[in-house]
Amino acid sequence: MRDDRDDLVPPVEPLPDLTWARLERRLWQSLDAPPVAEVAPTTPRARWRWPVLAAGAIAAAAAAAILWPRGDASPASPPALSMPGGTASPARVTSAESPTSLAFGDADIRLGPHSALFLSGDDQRGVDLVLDHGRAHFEVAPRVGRAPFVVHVGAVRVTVIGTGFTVIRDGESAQVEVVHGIVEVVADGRRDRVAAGQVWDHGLVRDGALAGTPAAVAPQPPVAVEPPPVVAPPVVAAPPAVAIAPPVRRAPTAPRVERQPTPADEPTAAFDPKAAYAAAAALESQAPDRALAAYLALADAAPAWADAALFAAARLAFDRGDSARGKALASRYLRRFPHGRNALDARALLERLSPTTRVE
Amino acid sequence: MAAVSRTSDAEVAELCARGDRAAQRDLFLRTRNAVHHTLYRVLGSNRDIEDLLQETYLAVFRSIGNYAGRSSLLTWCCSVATHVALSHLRRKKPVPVAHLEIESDAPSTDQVVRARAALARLYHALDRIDPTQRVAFALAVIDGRSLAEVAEMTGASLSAVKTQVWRAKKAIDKRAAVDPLLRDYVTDLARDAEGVA
Repeated sequence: MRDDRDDLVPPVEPLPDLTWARLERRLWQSLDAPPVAEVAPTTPRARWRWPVLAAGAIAAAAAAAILWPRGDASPASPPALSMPGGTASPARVTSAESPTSLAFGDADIRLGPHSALFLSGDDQRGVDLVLDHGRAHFEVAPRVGRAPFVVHVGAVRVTVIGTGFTVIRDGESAQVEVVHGIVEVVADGRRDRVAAGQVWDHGLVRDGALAGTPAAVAPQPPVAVEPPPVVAPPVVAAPPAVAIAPPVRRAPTAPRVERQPTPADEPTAAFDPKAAYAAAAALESQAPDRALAAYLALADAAPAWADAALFAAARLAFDRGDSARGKALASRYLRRFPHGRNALDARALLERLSPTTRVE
Repeated sequence: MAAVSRTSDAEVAELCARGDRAAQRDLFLRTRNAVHHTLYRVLGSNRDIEDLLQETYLAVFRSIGNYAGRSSLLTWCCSVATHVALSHLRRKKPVPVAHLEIESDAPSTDQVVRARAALARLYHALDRIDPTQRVAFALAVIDGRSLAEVAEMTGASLSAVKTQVWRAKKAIDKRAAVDPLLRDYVTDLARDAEGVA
């Protein structure tokens, strides 16, 4: 932690105050909750882990069943948690290391790993959800003539018109991908309609898919349900009304459309590839899509920088969890630079993405 | 925070173990930046950091009754964070990302961009080595901590830490042989770090 290393090692990126406040709130809530609701640090080989987590999930689900109104719906493919009648008071659902699914009213919700969602309302009064953090995919019946279904993501409001869509929250920013149907996104006083195959990203609507959109759901995780702070969790005596479901597999979402750099992306002034590379690198954390497009444009425009730029694009796609694009770009790199200075890394990247494939 | 500074670490630990929320909150506020720093340096980004911070503090408050006072409470909390990070690296297929902000008062954009790109490559390389070696290398070489401090944080012997750092450096040197940016960066980093000669 020496200060004189700051020139060499960029400083630790601070966490926003909001994150600290949320973390502190979650921490005290977790400490006050029954111990079974917590996920303690464990190793993957611990054999007692899943039974303990499953017991925690069942206990939490049972508590939820007592706290929440019950309905009589019985979905053909039962989710980990079912709340067909909605909820009278706000409730929070969190996922652990794997995605999980739940039914809320007539909506199917798939919560990504390490995500949290506040649920409130019902089909009669309207549904209000808040994505606290992480990622969630919603399948919602058309809302024509029905109560609204709204997802809040920080200052961004997504109103469903009848659709399947994914929302990702990263701090205070949000991304919305519409798989089918249409949603309305309101942010900063601006209203956008996002249609199937489009992505709303920081106020811009583009064609394509979000990075890392999951194609399949991993083994069903435990669902920790935290009741509102004012309601003490009751002692669970009855068997749980909610069963842990087997893994649910879903088809991939909208096909990825790789945005090609256009002439408009190219600077009109004297082109400085070094500056372009630096600018792309600087964009990575704030606007990774633009960074990726800039690397690809540079790879096409400046042969001397193509090696570095093309590999950087592949690495960035990989870093963002976009395996398909990472794989495509790493392969493209190796076709163009089979003995390039990043060839070793590109092969390692491909081997990592397809462990069974040997890359020559 | 004042209450904590007037009280010894052992007394704070005892209050926290008894569930004294004020003491727990003081300890959280007093140590959170150092704990975040430790996790960030081991992982290379703020990805998953919120969950790991929560996991760390849950472990801290649930096991603080075992605090024996052999190190400061701050070091003990960072040690818990190190173990949480190690468990995270072992149980999860890690994705190397280095999200580092460019500060307006940084030396120069070029330097920062270069350091940032090099650090991202370094974490990319670290992602492929043994998590124990990665943790030791990150704390000793990237964060510049002494080997004794790393040993205290990881619970390993001094000689074990030295070996872990050396093996990590050797593995990274292999990758750096074909990556001049990484090679220069690791050389600069290792210049004044212990255990990497």
